[in-house]
Amino acid sequence: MSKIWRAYVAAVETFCFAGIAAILIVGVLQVFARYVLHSSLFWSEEFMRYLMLWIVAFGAGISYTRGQFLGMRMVVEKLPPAARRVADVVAAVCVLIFLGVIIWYGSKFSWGTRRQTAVALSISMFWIHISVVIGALLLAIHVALNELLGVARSPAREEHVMGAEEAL
Amino acid sequence: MIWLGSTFLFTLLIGMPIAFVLGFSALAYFVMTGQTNFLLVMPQRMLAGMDMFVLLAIPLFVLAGSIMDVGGLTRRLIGFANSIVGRFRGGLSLTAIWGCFLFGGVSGSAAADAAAIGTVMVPDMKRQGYDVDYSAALIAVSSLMAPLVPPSIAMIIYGALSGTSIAQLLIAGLAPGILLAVLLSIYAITVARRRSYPTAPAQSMAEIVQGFWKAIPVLLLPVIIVVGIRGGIFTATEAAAIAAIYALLVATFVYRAMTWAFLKEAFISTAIITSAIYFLVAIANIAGFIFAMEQLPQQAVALLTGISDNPYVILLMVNIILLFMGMFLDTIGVLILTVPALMAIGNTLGLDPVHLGVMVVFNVLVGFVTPPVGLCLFVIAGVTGRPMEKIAVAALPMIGVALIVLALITLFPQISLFLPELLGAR
Repeated sequence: MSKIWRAYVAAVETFCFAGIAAILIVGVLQVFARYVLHSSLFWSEEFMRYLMLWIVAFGAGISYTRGQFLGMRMVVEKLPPAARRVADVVAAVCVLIFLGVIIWYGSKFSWGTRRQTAVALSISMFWIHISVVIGALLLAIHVALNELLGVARSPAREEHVMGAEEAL
Repeated sequence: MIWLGSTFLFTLLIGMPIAFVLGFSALAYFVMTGQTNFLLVMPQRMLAGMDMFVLLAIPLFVLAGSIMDVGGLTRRLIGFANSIVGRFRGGLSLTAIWGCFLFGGVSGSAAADAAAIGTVMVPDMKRQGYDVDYSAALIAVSSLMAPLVPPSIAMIIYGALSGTSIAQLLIAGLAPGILLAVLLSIYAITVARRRSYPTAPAQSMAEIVQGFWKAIPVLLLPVIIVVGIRGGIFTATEAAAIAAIYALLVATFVYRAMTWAFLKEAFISTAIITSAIYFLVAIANIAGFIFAMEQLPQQAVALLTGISDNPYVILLMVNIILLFMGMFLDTIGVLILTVPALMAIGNTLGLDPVHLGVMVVFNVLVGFVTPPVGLCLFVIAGVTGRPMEKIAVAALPMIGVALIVLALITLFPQISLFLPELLGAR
């Protein structure tokens, strides 16, 4: 089981690495094309935007496990361990309900837009919109594993949970 | 409305991550008010919120900052700062302040700034007899300059949420950042006089030039961003891409410090941290939809203008509310909850959106150095091993300095607006 998990994390990390590298290269290429070659790329902005949606889809779950999704823990931390456990489970169930709704309606929305095509890349919008479903699905798996089953937390990161604020 | 509020408070108090607090509250609102046809709108709004070209500046600026953080960058910046301000009374404390300022020109992250400068400077300051809590507090408050000086992730998020020009916001943060550095320096000098903290020996012109020469490739990064955005050579996103590739070239070929492992880690952590920010922005787009449906921004305006019609009194109330929220909630969460109402208030009072943006961003940043959950206090406590409460007490007068800067920014829009105007970015 832990073997599959490690392979999954490695695959996501590789995708994230390649994805960010591609966004960097295309971003530089866009400036280069406009100022040096004097001809703008017609596909670069769309490519970068949609690629980022997929990076978020794959990255959000791991981001959750690494403590990037922070809440206000002040009240919960004052509770006795048993009550805190109840609060955490209730919170996790609410999160899973929300993600379930996003998965269900996201699938409906993606399917409904399958005949639309992206302006520059001319692929079906289904492939862009389904990213939110994959993202919610992976997040749900991470939330369920971390909060309900108590596995797959990376303990080394636990001490330095700072949330997404870290980037500000 | 009651459902929205009570679900929000309940899920917030049980410690649910703020992104899900907002998402689940939206869900509860749609279900309880019988508007289940809007559930299909949620994934659609999320996608639309994330699918914005300006937001790509976030991963690219985060990447530039983490790449530049390789191989002795902090030492170089501190060496340069020290060669100029070290000779004054309390030299090392001034070096810490201006080191934080320079680091802010490379990284938009206050947490990274506090960690980097704190790790190097606090031991040095301790050796020279500075009080450790004082040193830690000074660096924590100085690190607030990082999100003010371009590049700034906070400004990009504000711009994306409010539809304000990100190019202008980035440039507008520079002068308030300098103002904070100057006022903190004045404070540090008076403290150093009172406690007779030492000065560093004055360095010769040759040494200053040498320090400058070593630091110049790093110092050029914010210059490229500002000059590039100025007059619209690049968009903010393109400037970020150029900044990132520049950082990569400098780290690899000038400082020769880049390793494959470091590079990989920088790219992956950029993706991971950006994912969390994007998810928040996605949820913000659902929240914004409900706020508009319920006309909450208009109600906030009516509430505030009902109390007073004096714009200064209204701005004072806005600042107090934001400071209070910033103490308990995470910064992006505060922005998501308040930006729609703030834009409406700005419209009513006829405020410039860029000025309003700088004021709001500065305000929520103060939450980084206030207990109980100040991010920078937390970081610097980790670096120094001192209890957070002690550092928070030592930081009180410096938070006072930051609030003076906030008051000046609020009262004098020109502090924020003169640079964008001067540089022709308006």
